[in-house]
Amino acid sequence: MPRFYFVVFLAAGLLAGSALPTLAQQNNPTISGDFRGIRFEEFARRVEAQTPYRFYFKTATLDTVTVHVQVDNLRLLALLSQVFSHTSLQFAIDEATNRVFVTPERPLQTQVPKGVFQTLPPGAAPAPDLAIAPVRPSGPPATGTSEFRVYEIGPRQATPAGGRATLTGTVRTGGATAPVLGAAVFIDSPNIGTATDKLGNYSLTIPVGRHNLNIRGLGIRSTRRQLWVHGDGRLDLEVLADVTSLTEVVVQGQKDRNVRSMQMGVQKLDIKQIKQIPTVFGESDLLRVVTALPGVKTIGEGSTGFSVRGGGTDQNLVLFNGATIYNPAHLFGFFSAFNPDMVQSVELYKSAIPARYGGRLASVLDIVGREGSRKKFGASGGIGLLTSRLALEGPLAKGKGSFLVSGRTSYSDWLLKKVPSPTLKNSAASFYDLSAYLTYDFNPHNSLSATGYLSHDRFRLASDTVYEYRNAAASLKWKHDFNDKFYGTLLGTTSHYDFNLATTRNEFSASTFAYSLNQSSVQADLSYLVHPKHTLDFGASSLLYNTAPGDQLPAGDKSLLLPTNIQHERALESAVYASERFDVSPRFSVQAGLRYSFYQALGPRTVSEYIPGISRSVSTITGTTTYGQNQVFAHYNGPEWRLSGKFELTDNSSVKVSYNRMRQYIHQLSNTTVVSPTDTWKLSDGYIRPQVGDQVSLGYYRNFKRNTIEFSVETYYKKIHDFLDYKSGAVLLLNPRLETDLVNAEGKAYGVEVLLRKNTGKINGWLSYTYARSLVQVSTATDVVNGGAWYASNYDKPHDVTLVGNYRFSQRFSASLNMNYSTGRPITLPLAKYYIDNALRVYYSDRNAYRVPDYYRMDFALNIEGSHKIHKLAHSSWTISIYNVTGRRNPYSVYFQTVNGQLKGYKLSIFGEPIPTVTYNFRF
Amino acid sequence: MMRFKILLISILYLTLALAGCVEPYVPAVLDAPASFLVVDGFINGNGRTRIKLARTANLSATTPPPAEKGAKLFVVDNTGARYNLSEQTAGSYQSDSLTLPPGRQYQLRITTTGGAAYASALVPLKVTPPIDKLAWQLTGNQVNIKVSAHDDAQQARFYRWSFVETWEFTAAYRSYFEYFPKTDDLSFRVTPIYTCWRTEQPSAIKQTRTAQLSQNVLTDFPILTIPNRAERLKIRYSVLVSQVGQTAEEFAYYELLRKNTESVGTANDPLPTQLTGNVHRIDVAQEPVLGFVGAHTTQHQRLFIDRKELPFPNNWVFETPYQTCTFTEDAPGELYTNIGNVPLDRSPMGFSGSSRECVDCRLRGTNMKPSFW
Repeated sequence: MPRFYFVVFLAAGLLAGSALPTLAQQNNPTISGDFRGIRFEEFARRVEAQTPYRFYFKTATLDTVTVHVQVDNLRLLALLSQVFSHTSLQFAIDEATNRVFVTPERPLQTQVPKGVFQTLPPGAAPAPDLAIAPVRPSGPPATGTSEFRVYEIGPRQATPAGGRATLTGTVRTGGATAPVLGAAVFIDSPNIGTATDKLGNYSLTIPVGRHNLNIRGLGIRSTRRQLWVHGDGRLDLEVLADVTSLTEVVVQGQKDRNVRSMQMGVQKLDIKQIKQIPTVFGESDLLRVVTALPGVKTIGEGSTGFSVRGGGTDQNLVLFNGATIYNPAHLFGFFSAFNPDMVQSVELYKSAIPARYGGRLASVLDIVGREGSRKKFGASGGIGLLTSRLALEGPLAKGKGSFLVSGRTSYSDWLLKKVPSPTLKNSAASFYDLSAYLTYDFNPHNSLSATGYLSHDRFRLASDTVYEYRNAAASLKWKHDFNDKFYGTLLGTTSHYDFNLATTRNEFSASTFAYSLNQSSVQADLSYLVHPKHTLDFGASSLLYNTAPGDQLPAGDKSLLLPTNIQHERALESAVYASERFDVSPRFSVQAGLRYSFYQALGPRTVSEYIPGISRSVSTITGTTTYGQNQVFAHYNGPEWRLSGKFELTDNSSVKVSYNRMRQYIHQLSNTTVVSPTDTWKLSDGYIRPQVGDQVSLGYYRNFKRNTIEFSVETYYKKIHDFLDYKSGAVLLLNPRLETDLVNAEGKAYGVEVLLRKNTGKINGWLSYTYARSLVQVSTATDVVNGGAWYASNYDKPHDVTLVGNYRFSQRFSASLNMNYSTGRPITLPLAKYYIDNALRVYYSDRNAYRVPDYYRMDFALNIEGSHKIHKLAHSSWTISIYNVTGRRNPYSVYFQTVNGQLKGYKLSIFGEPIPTVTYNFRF
Repeated sequence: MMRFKILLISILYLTLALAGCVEPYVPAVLDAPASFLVVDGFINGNGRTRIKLARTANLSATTPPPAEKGAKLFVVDNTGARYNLSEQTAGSYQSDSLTLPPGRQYQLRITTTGGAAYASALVPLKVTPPIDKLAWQLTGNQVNIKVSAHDDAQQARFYRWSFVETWEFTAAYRSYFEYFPKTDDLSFRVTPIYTCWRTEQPSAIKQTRTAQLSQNVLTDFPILTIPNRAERLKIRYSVLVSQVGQTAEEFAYYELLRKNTESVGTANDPLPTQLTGNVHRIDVAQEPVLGFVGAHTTQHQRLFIDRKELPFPNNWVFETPYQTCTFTEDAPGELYTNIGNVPLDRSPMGFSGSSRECVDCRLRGTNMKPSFW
């Protein structure tokens, strides 16, 4: 820009010929008038009308400038000095030609410097600029009180362009008497900031030039100051106190996390968002909301099993306050096992999984429990058609700690009674879950939290079969700050999962079956801020598994059943990790991590050996070896790389890339496509190798409208090595030699996820589109599926569009709308028919060669909050929801049955009609 | 785990009762696949070996699958002894009545008219232990038929049963008159059409294994259930139970076949498998051939259940196809010259009568009393 003006000037100067400009002419016209509240352009026009001066400026530079002066017989120089006093705009008056040049930042030279046309005598200093420019005093430090003024810091040209200057000062409020401590003082570009100390002092080193200095803090009104930094200087800031008694203060952090954070492939939901989303039985369901996120696919309606980026349902690590939960579902998956009252937030990592997590290939679902109130006792709860819940919370030890206990129970038996089936009329289904969360701060540097969790399900079919399952978990976490830059947590957890099944229908084969899994772990995570640009995270963990894969016992005296006890399994999984984050520049950061995991399968165990080179079966056993207590009979170890990089293209857009490798040593055995509670978990051993997954992922992130709208595109490619698949008709329960029924499969998955998300405002929610493929190959020397070709896995649903929306009409009413479309899942279809034993039989297609019809669903909910009167017994709210508004009969399952000798295909829809629900929630 | 499946399916029904629904579904399965050879039958250790050869048909085909005619079949054991089969009807092949020596391994060989050669895998001959006891018991609203068996030789650990059910039934109304077209005359009935016997072969595969039990003993193992209002129990019911002992492979094949046929595709069932069997085309291993040819002896036993033995009250209602039948009290005789109407008895104007479906039991069975009745 300056160059442009210079050229104009030269041309003008040459045309003007020999006319030399003079500093001041005697007949200087004066100007009078009221120029208040007019645009500069208008101002210039009016001045031009009164005087011979002509203004030269770029409209774009001055279109936001408004003039506020009223003058009487003032010279132009004085007038303009007044007009531009609070801006960075400069002017130069060429009195010879009556031209006024208005420029940003630096005044235009209206005369050719003397040196241009004459040789300078040696040693002579160049002449000072001749342009008339106001000289501002660089007196005592300014006190920044106005958002609209530009404060100049330091003497002009004190620091060359591109250099840095240090700005110091004090933030005060209340007529500059009270220092504001802990307020954030920062500039946007580059992102440099600090917080005020106890006396309200701050110090910032920033590049010279124009900046917007933002001041945010508790108790003060967020504001900003316009700076023009020339060099080191001081600026005290006086800000307004923010005394708001009517609306709550919402402290929102990480609004720009989509763009700024190092993380990619991560989605965070808080309980408020979860609660807005309509669900089938009116109960807020964390897992169902998670399945609405891009890259996450449900396994079926009425199931909380989910697949992340083409991974299996067992490849998700579900953590509740650090403890693993193995079966996060109630009532065969119609409810998630997490009571919404006890959840604070949930975070799902799909790629670039931090090095502190390990043990599952596809994702980590980290559920953080809600801390109880430290101020007062309270109760909240809800009453629905099938379940009720209650939570109690309050302070402990005078606010140094808190507790939260919550419980939920079902009363769904009445539903079973409605079913016109005598078997089901005599049945009963019930579940409950309980959780407790205690926190206690010993001092500002040490805090302790303890979590306990129990969920239990029981289903009785007729009067002779009882099925039960149970999750229990406990964790104890100690957080310690060594100093400002070094802190760590020590976490001890234990998790338990079991199910049992008792049947007495035939007294000769009456039996009980039990499965159980226990895991205990210790984990230390440390974080050290080595340098403002380097953060080091490191830690170690060790996890001991004990499983009882199946104990079948005869029930009653007449039972002929032989007790079957499958050998218990025991293994130790340990890991060490270190991860370093390096902020190469404010815009470019890299994080490199390595987790090294070790796995040891421990005795006692008797292991069969097989003839090598052919498919393992009972008939190829050559012998057995017995290993003693805690003897290691198989071990694996390997590195797990976690690399990621972030580059901010602009203030509100960035590109991130990551590569990670995960290793998984525990495998779920399930010969169905739905997570059913008889699924068991198998530990790696000499035959069952650990699954290894590699993922590369690339994403583009952009925020709009002051970080209120987030947009991201992520693409990924994944390879999975050695995940488990089953031979045809595999027996998974009570099988002493599981290795004979399992095969190793290879998997690959790739896709693109596009997400547009708005978290605040009257309208919030997200819209996502996912294209994702998930393929499997079984082609070992001995076992082949589909001729060894790649085929679609059960989780392969290429297209998925999800809209989760919420509109708040007022403080009391809000409406939510959910829409979901996805490609139907793959299915193996019958191709031909034939007769064996006089019955029609069917010849099936290649595995997963066809698809069920597409899935489409729309849900609607209305949330009505009670009145906001302060004095009333309870705050209550109602949720009215309709699940599947369009009543589309989405296939839950497609199956074929031989009926009267004919093969007929059927489509089963579970929620094939709109399902209305009403829930009442309260809070004391 | 079967009970568990029931339980899961019940959950589905539960939700079904809420709002779920089952609709017919016809996928647009594209072009017809190739037509594969189907081998149906087993090598019989104590009787005639009967093998049916056919081809697979399209799902949408309404005609029965085409028979494979003119093939050459023989059974051969591992010592080289051959037993030929000859074609009886189109696609049905049969051997002489044989008593095969146990302790050997047998296979079936086929050469089609097209020159393609097929062979089943060599399998040992399983000698089936006899049925120790075949009994029935009324529990709740159904009659359970239970079998007991044991094998001292500890050989048969996998059992499979097939059934031939026969029951006596009557039409809705007794007809005393008959229309004779030759003489165009209505006179006293000659052909009895009131009492008949119906025979059915259930297609369900019923098998079990005793491998989990301490002895090779089956005690009162339920193999068949009949609802307590079934027409089967109205007069007299009989079932011929055939028991075979089988190898683990054959058991596994039938288990898969059962899963493939009876319970495939619901969410909680295993994936259907591309099940073929133990027959392969010689030199063309990748051509699918369907069917499992096992080798075993069979054991049979028959059970009768009389209405008198059942503790039902006299006015007990059985569910029969005749429950909706009505009759005309009085109509002119000319009405009954129509084949669809059958006269019952004399009436003022002519004859009372009803439809053929309600009067002629032969439409659902035979009026010839079976030899074993």
